[in-house]
Amino acid sequence: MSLAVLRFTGGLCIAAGVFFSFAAVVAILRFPDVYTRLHGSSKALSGGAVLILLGALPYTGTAAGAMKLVLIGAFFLVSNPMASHAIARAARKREKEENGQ
Amino acid sequence: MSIMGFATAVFLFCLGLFTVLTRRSAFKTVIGLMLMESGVLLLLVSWAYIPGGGPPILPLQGTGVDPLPHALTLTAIVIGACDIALAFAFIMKLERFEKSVDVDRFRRLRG
Amino acid sequence: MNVSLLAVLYLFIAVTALVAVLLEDLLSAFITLSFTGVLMATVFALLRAPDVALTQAIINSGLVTSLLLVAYSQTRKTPHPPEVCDECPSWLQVKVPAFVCSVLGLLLFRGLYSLAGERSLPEASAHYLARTLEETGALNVVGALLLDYRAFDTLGETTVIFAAVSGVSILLSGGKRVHSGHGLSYIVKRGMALLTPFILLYAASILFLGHLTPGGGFQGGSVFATVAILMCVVYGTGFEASRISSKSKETLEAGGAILFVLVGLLGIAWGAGFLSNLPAPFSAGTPGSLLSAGSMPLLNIAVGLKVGAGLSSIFYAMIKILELEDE
Repeated sequence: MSLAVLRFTGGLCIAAGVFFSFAAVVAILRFPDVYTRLHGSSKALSGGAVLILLGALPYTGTAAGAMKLVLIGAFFLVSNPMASHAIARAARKREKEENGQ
Repeated sequence: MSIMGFATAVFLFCLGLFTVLTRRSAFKTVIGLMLMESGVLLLLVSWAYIPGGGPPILPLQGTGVDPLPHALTLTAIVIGACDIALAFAFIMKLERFEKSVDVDRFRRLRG
Repeated sequence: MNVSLLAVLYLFIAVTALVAVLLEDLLSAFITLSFTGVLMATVFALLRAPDVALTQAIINSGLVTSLLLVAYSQTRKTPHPPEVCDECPSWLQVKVPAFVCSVLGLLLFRGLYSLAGERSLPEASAHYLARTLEETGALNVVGALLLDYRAFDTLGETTVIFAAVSGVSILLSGGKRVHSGHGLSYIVKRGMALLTPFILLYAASILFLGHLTPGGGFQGGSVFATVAILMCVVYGTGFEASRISSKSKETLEAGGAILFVLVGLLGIAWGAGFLSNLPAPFSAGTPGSLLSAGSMPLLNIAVGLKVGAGLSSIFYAMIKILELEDE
């Protein structure tokens, strides 16, 4: 019974994650410049991927598999903001150079 | 079932060949080579799949898929990465001499 | 097996490959191509080929893309050639190759059509699946095939890697590395410092458990090379090169090759043949433990050294030229 409830919650989490990822795609397509696109995609992607991993937790069956998913989620939470930060800085640097210092 | 995999593999191979034949940028030629390689990899792996088979890790539950094409594919991926790296080295070297990545302009060695 | 999921993935593979070919902008084409690689890794995992999926994800969509980007940034100052040449007639440029490719595709598909359908295991593969545990002591059948049944093949493959590394180094030789570049910002540097031990641990687990779980020397060595590339990007080009010089990379690579051949020669010394595993005095051990499967862990380490050192020296040979141009 409780497993069924957990799995239903997991399904809801996956649905929310899919929505966030979809929002990220819309942001990349519709936003005008690098910074706003990065804002949309990084936030929605962190949230989306982590939510999908959370939702997959009840379906793994083993403790080791669940632990792997948690580790992957932690890796996402550390690495994704780092990558967006690096991209934003590089874009800013290039913008400065193109405007003649 | 595996016919979809075969169709995609043939499509990738022919698309890669078309790219190699028609595009002038040397980078596009390398992209074509990579696509042809991907087609061969996909063909081998989808040929190895057997309905109901598990991954070739012991102990098996029931039957397993064919492990031999997997070993061949693994070899092919590593060799492919190596020769693509060599192709890039050639492109970078040629670009320093010819100041171009246009394959039609690499005529220095033509007889 | 979810057929509709597989069909969607195949469709996306075809579409991304087509987009990568049609895009004018090379950088976007490379990114699209790496996406094709990730989709193919997913398909391989669904087709029950975890070893191949791991290799495809690490090498084809990770390492090769980084090499593409280095080569692209090296040559970006030259003008981009037009897609088709102006002097030649257009039917020769596009229509004839398109016709040839579609005829070839139809013929290939016609030939493959008879291969589809129900397929049973060939005799050799059934033998491998049934007898691997007793003949090699390994749990990963693909790893046992690479390092025991077909170990000679793998030795030839490492020779090809050696030839590629030598070729790239000779082609891009001349000129010394300039210790330029301060890397990325403080936040990225600290974040990378936090992540590096875990990535190294992951690489070591792939490498040392290659005879038990999907993975092995090729995949583990490639992850090690990825760490070298990440360090080069994050901390600036001089950082990793000053700690592990290219000389010691050469030594590591040669050490891997020598270890591989020595393990093979040990088999000859026991009268069992080159690269033989259990007939030579290697213990099979308890199945599933770290020190089992005879010589396979040793060969995994040898291949890992070779691939890791080889791929990172290819990357550094390309970077070297890049810095000379920037001077």
